[in-house]
Amino acid sequence: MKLYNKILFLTIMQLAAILLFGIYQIQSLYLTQKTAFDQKSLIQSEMIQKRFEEKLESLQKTAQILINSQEVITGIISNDTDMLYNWSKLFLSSSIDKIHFIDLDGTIISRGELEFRFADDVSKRFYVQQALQNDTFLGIDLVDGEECLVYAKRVKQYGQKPIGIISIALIIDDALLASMVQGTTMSIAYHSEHQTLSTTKEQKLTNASSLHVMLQAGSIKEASFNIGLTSAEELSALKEARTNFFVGIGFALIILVLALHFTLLKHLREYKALAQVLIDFYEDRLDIKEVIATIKQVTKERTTPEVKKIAEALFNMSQKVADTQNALELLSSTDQLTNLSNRRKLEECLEQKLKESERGSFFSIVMIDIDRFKTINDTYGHEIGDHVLIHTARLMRESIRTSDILGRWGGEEFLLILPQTSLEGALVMAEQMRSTIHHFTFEHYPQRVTMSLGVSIHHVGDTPNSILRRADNALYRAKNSGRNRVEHED
Amino acid sequence: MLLRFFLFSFLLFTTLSAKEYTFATYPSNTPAKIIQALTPLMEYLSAQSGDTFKLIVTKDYEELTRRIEEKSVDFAWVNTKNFVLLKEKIPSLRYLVTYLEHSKSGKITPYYQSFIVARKDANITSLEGAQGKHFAFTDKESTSGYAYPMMIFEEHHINPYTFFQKVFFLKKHDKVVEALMSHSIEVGAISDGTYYTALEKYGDRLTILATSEPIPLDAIVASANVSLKESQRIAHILENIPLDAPSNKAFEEHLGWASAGFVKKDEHFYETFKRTLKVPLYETLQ
Repeated sequence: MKLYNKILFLTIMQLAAILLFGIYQIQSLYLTQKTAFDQKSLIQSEMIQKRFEEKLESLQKTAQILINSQEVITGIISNDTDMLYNWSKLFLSSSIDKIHFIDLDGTIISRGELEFRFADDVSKRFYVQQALQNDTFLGIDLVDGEECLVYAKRVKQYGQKPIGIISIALIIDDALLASMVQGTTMSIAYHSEHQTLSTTKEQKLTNASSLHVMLQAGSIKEASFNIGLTSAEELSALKEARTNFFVGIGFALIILVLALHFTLLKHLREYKALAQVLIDFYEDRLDIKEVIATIKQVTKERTTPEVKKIAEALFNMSQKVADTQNALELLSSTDQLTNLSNRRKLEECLEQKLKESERGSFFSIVMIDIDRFKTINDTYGHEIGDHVLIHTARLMRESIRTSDILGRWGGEEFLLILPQTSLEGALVMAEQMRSTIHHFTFEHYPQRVTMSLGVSIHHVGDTPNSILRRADNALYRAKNSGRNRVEHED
Repeated sequence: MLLRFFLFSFLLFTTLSAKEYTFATYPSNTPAKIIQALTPLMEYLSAQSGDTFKLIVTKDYEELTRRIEEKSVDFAWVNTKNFVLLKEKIPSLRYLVTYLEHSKSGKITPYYQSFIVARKDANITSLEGAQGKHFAFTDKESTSGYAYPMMIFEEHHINPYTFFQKVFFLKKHDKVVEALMSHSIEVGAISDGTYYTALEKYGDRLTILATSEPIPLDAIVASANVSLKESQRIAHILENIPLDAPSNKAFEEHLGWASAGFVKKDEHFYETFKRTLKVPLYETLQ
């Protein structure tokens, strides 16, 4: 697996693990909070339910107290509006809005909440009829045009003889609903055929449930109390936080992966470039000089210190390899004795010149042989022979141009390649060389040294052998013609 | 020196002989108004007699009667009916004076009247026309709010408990007016003073269907606690209240009563009321 993929994979794995852990933590927190939230809602719902029941109980208790008062009974019997008003006034409270004393004909004898409004007929009201027929009524009905929670009960003299009705009522209004949900985060809504009330402006309650009440169905149809959350703001905030976290983590993951991707690409590209140079060198697509040039380029570029150091190290290594290679090349192409190019090098050069001649260049060659060299060796020994060879080579080298190639062809035989040189030029060079050697006085060899030289020029379609053969033929003629002379091809 | 001793002794005697009397009255109006109306009278009595008069407003007629019987009060302001009944029950009760009022005719008189009134918008023009309506008395113990109206009904051969659709008891005269104005009832029994006050307050919105014969005004009595001599002394002080006394002004201001002080009448003055007691009570348990 590539380094890039490895790093990316490992990093993504770690990030994914962190993300999963984060998701797990957030989800756990969310579930814990939700449970607490649900629990709180449940407690508040029960609280509201209890408050509602307390209000109903309050109605019943008040009615019971009044029913048990002998003065109230006397007041009802004697239509003592004032006494009944004074009694009921004592019991009106936030939990009781209306206290009515009604006779058996359904005529109101006294109203606790309105001193001078009485004597009207309420016999047709459902709660009055129910109380007259069934002794009690606990439910919702219209009382003086207002929807109320009503408890109505028959009043009996001596506990037996019915003498009238007491109705205790609590108006179903915004204030009642508000008092029921006070101090909670819940809302309550009341709906009937006449009105719809709610402690919230929200049209729909969240997690709504009905109040469990045993109320008699009166003339008010479809009356119901529903409690629920005004809004799941708290839970929504939690959900939103969770979603935001997930999105944030996801987004961060993408950003991190992209950042990692580009960072890796940037850094690995430099390493990769260096590695590629080495690979190319290994696979012979680059020679060492090109490697050096490329690495040199890298070190010049703006790059990281680490890469720069590696590039410098590689550069130094490459430099050493190049030096070594040059030394080896020189060693392999040089004659050890004369320091001239050896025969292998000469053959390469000749091949090269023949190739270049295909593109229009031309050249001449001179085959050189020291005359009677065997005699020198035999007479003066090999040491002197070598001395002659070394100094002859030096003299010849000193007499040629920079572009000319001179090498030891073998023994006392030399080959001179003269690029861009005509036959005449080659003959001049050869003659000059012959003359120089002929007139040179060797330090350890007392006699004159002469050379025979055979010159040939390049012809179209030449091969190394063909051109060498012609030069060799010319050399043969020079030998045969008395040596110490220059001959050229015919 | 001797003179100074006598003066000091007299003052000491006077201080030691000063008494604290309890003066009770029934709640003909709201207790706060009654206290404001009667306080100047108590101050007048205290100043004139050298004694201290403490005012008590009872819860109702019944309590006033009970307290007189129990002798827990020394003087009491009672209405005619109370006086007659109490006198029969407690012969030792001493009559002191009768309340005087400026009548609407401008005369100062110890009488007043009871009216049976109806709301004008109920279109009732006669007592007979009020049949089947809602009616209110003040209190069964009230002279002008129950006893004399019952006599009116008797004269018209009407049993109010069957004649009207429903009969209510509102305790106070002004409450009858308020109930009429609130359209809770169509007909009610009130004193003439209450009627004229309503006339001023609400305008001509009531029709007088019937008028009672003159009713002796309220009396001030003393319980057996108070000696005859002391009773006479207090009665004399009451009789001599000037017309412009603060007590008269307080009655006018707080109760709307055109008070003119008090007059001492013969005890037989109240005997005319006894006729009302002969009226059969039509009240039945409903």
